[in-house]
Amino acid sequence: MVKRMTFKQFVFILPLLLFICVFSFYPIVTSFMYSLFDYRNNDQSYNSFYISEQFNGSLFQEDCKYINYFLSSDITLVEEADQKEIAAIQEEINVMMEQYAYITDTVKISDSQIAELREFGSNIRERIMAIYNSDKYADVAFYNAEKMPVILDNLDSTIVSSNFIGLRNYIALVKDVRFWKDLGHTIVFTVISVSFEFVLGFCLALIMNQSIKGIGMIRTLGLIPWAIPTVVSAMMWKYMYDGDFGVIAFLFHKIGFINKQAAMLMTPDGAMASAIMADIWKTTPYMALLLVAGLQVIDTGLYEAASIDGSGKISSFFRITLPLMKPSIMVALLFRTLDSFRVFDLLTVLTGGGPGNGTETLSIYSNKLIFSQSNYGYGSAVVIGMFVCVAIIAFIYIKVLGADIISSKTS
Amino acid sequence: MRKRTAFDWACLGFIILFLCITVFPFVWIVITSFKTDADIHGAATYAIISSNATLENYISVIVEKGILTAIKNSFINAALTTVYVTITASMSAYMIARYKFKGRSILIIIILGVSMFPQMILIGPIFNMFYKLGWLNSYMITLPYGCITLPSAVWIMITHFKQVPASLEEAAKMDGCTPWQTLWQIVFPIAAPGIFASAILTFISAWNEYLLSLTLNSETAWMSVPVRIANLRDEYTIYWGQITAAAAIVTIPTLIIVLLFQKQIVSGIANGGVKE
Amino acid sequence: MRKKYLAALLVLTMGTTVIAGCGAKKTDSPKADGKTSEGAATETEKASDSKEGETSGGSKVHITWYGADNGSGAHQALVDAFNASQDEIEVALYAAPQKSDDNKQQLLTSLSAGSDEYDVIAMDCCWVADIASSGYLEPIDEYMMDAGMNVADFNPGAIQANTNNAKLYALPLYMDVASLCVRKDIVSEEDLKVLVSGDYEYKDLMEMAAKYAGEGGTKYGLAVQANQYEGLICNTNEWTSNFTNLEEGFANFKEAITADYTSDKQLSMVESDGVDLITSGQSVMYRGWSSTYGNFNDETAVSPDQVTAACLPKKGGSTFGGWEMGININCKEKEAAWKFIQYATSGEGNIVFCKTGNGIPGYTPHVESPELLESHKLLPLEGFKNSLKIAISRPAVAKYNELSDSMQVAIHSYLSDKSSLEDAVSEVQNLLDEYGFTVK
Repeated sequence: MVKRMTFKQFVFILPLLLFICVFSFYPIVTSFMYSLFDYRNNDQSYNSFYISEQFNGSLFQEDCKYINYFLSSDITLVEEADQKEIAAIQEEINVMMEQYAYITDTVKISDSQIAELREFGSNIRERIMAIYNSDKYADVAFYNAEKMPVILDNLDSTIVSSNFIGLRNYIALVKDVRFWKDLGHTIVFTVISVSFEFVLGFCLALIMNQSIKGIGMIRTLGLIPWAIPTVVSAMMWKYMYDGDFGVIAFLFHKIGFINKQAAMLMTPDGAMASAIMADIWKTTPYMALLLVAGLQVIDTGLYEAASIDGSGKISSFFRITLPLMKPSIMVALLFRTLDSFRVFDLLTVLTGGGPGNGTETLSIYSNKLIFSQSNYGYGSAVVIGMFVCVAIIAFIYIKVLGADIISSKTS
Repeated sequence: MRKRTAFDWACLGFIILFLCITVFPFVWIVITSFKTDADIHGAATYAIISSNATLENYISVIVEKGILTAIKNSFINAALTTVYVTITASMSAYMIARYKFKGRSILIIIILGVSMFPQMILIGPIFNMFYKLGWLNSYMITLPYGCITLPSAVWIMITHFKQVPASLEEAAKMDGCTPWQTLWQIVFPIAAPGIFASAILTFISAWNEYLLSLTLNSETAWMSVPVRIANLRDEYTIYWGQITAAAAIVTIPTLIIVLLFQKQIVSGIANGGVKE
Repeated sequence: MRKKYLAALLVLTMGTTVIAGCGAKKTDSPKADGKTSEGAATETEKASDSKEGETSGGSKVHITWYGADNGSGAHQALVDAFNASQDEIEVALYAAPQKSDDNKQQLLTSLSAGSDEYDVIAMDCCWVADIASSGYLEPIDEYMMDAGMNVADFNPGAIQANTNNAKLYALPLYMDVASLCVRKDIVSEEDLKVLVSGDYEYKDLMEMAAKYAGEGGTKYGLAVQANQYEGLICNTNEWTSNFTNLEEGFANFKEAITADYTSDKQLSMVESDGVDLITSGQSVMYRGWSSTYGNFNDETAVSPDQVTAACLPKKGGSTFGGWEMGININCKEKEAAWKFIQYATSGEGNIVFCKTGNGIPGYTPHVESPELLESHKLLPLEGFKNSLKIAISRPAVAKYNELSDSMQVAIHSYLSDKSSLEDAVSEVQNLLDEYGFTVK
């Protein structure tokens, strides 16, 4: 039975739409915009979005003040004629400063103003450097000989050119070897951990579904790993994998699993395996919880009927449980895959991407770009690249495991 | 009672092994929390009970480091998030599962799509928004939390609502129930396993969230549990004793929640309305 | 059935509201401002209280200082001393995250939103360039001039790190320099003398590490940091003599961390791991920052009397770090903020801070201050003095953080056998050239 929706029913969805628009759409659209700009937080000319040429008024005032101050401290070192010249330059700078004092932000100004400012910049540069570089003063140690050219360069940068670069971040992304390597690591991590989690989670779900004595306790204990905050459990695993003090590494070494106690985090493969193990431990309960809820919707009458037909437990599992669980399995797998594709906390704490970048995933890479290197534009492009990969995975899941959820049919 | 088969024994063995592996790291956290810092990196590293066992770590995280404040913050955040995510998600999931409307499948895909973005990209814009609205260091943090958990909650609930036989609703409608009443009185109880599963998942996700609470609620008085614990260190030293003690303490509230709700997950159709 | 769920939800909601109510009351109630140093929780409560005080009006100017206390309480001691020293300005400490990455992330997020939450900011020396060129900091040359202060009085390395586009943006709160923490009860007097003097080579250090490993209940001779992170650059900076002798430096470094006299887990070792090894008596020597020496106490297996500071090989140099104080460009009380910075970096407060936290003043006249030398654990030590003399900076280039990240990957690939020595050397050399690092 499928009904058409009226406005009254639409009200039911409204809160969800509002939420998604404000807290998800807005940030996502913003980050997509970031990726179209050379947007960096380590340079004033790039830390906003400029589609056209703009003028940074406050920086202009600041730089002019500095030039005047540098000139004042060096003025006593030059001959009288040049002293006059410096005074004249300073006067010109003051006039300019006053003229543009009304602009205190980075704003768009007219082309003639830009031309005027450019002209002013190159004019004073020429005249100031003529004095500083003059042969007469070859022996004079100016206080600001090194700083003057730097500040003049900085003055030029008050005219901010457009940092809109269109798809260039994405072109760089396609050519970025590190991106593809990290994608490989991410896929390895996701595929292995999700498949183990699924199998183990299913077993756990079947156990949790029993009505035996003490099952409440088993269910609760089984969920412990998931109840410990990821940051904390990642730190704990690092401590337990430690080559000198780690109990898990110690036990594995004693069993003969690894040849020396420190082996767990020392090679790229070992570190990846260790991280996957910790992830499986942590998130199997999540999978189990979703699957156990899915098991509830199966009518127990079906099993009774099957057992009358003479099919065993195993065959009824494949003939009844699995097919009926399909929607739940899909949701569980889908959301686990999305989560583990974005794995971040666990690997940063355990390996920080090492050894030799062998466990760096896309999340870690984009986090390094955005927060360590302040490169928001390219970092956002990596995130969008990641989004595309995840979208492909989700598409495959929906195609393979059926589109029951998307379709408007009811069972 | 029938005789136990080899299969049953295998199952039992699996259960025990599984639980041991699952619980061991937590047990080790508890064991470590009673050791002094010297023991944690010394002769007693692998000892189960160290000779100079101490309660020092617990006392210092509770008294000095204010872990209880963090538990209070996290509990309120997680509970608020759970309540409104459950309400919002069940309302919309019900509509999506039951009604046909334009853009329905697009809506479902969009809901899924928003959960594909890593959280770190959301932080900047959300921080700006919170800063301008003066919402930093407040319980408003539950709003973005909700968005992280909404997509999975909606999807889980859709699958469960779809399993509810439509005939029941038809009957309810005959009796003159409004959609709201139908949702609460007929559909909700039958879909309870899914709803409670997603409620538990939401609660724990919100409880465990790190990046958002690190930036949005950075004042010590507003810190959440994961942020408070991760901060039990100096620039170059990590206080393992305190971290493990804190981890042991903070796991208890979540376990109580799970213990209370786990029954509901397996009590849907089994004792619900379908067979009536 | 339905009632049960409703009841459960209702209970949860009500419980939450009640707790929320109580919580709100608790944080809203005014707290007496104790002057004694307390735990982190109370510090921030004070911070939020004083913010409230700001809005309600008062004769004092209130400013907030964003800083991460290193566990010694030095930050709070400085704030208390400043607040007691005058009655116009009240500073509140905002406890920043202890984890360096988290700290920087929070700071950048807040600054890029144009926030004025934090008036004075404490930054790691290698963040200043990025934050300053973004336009988030107030240049301080003018303040320096008005106050009659001279940059020459500060450590040149720190000033270099704090200068960007010819403008000075911050002053050093304290400096930190790497030194070699040595078990003097194990190493012979003769060898100790050599180590303290710094007149030896890395090859000698390796020999000595091999010689003493296993003695006095230890397992290892040496511990360094070789995880893939910023610390790897600090270490290799020393082994390669400020990245001038790449081939020999890398080869030695790899030989050392794969040898039997170092821990097998060297490749994932950060400062905290090394501190654990030396304090638990498992390692004879440890390359670390000055805070290392504060980790020995009566409870640790190794007591403070058993260790001393020695100098790293002179030829390589010793990487310096440290924390710098700057003013948020959006700060509304810049004069007050500057007064606090002045007090903290070159005034009485700097001595209070360095005394409490065992920091090294970046203000040169203070290094010789008798008041400081009297109670300082490190400054009087010969080995530490020598370390200070050979302090070297990390490559001072624009976009240092990008360079550092790429070098970490290249070096760590070599250390973990993923690439050859030649590849690592040529890759790092290319990177240094590309980012414009020139040897002075």
